[in-house]
Amino acid sequence: MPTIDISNDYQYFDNIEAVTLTLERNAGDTTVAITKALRGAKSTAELSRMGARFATDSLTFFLPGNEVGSSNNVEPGDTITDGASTPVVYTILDVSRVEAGSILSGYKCSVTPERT
Amino acid sequence: MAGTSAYNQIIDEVSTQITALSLSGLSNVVKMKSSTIRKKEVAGLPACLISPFGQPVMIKGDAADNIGVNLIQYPVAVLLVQVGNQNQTTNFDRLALWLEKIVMEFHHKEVAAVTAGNVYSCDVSPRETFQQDAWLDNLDLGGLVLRFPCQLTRS
Repeated sequence: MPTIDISNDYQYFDNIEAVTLTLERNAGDTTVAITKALRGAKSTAELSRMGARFATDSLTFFLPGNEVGSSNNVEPGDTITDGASTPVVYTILDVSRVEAGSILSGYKCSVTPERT
Repeated sequence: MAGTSAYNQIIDEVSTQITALSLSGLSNVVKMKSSTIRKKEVAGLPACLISPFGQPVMIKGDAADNIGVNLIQYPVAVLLVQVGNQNQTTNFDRLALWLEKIVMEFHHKEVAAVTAGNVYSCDVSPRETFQQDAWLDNLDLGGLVLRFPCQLTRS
């Protein structure tokens, strides 16, 4: 069975955008420039907390594995900053590796925007 | 029928007293039926949300005891919400201090401003200081429940 290499598929994606991935670590943060991120649609829901309800935005970003780099691990608590004129910082809540066999395509990150 | 309910007066007085504390950085004190931070009701964060909590409780004394006559306990939820953005240190002390000041404002104190009943004390039930699920939503959320025993006059 042939091995399908999906690690470079991101080079052909439409609707990409540049973002900055920040790996937030106790020893010091690392920033990684991502040129071809894919943003998913935003949804907003009111969630129950301590008997009150609070609206929360949620969406996903896909970050190509080759751009994140093999030495970097994306983890909850890391952030993605978009390239808007007033940049929005998104907190990563969970991360899924997108793979075919042992070939990594990238990271699907569920995020919520920081509040102001 | 004219008049106002004791419960409504109690919640109004909670709002008045918390506003009068002039808690540093907290300008939005909002009375609600059901707590939310919808933009329609809350101008921005931080905010103090005040609403009824659960069900009032009828308190019953024994046959020779007048203390329990016409006595109802009214619970009031006080929630403090500020931007958190999952930062572990920013405004930690501010929210904790707000909660402490509110506890000291009400704990075991009469609320004489309520005229629809005799609110002779208050029991404070602290809740979480930084609720974890809200923290993951980039909110710092802490709160407490104020329980006011209120003797009503039977007409």
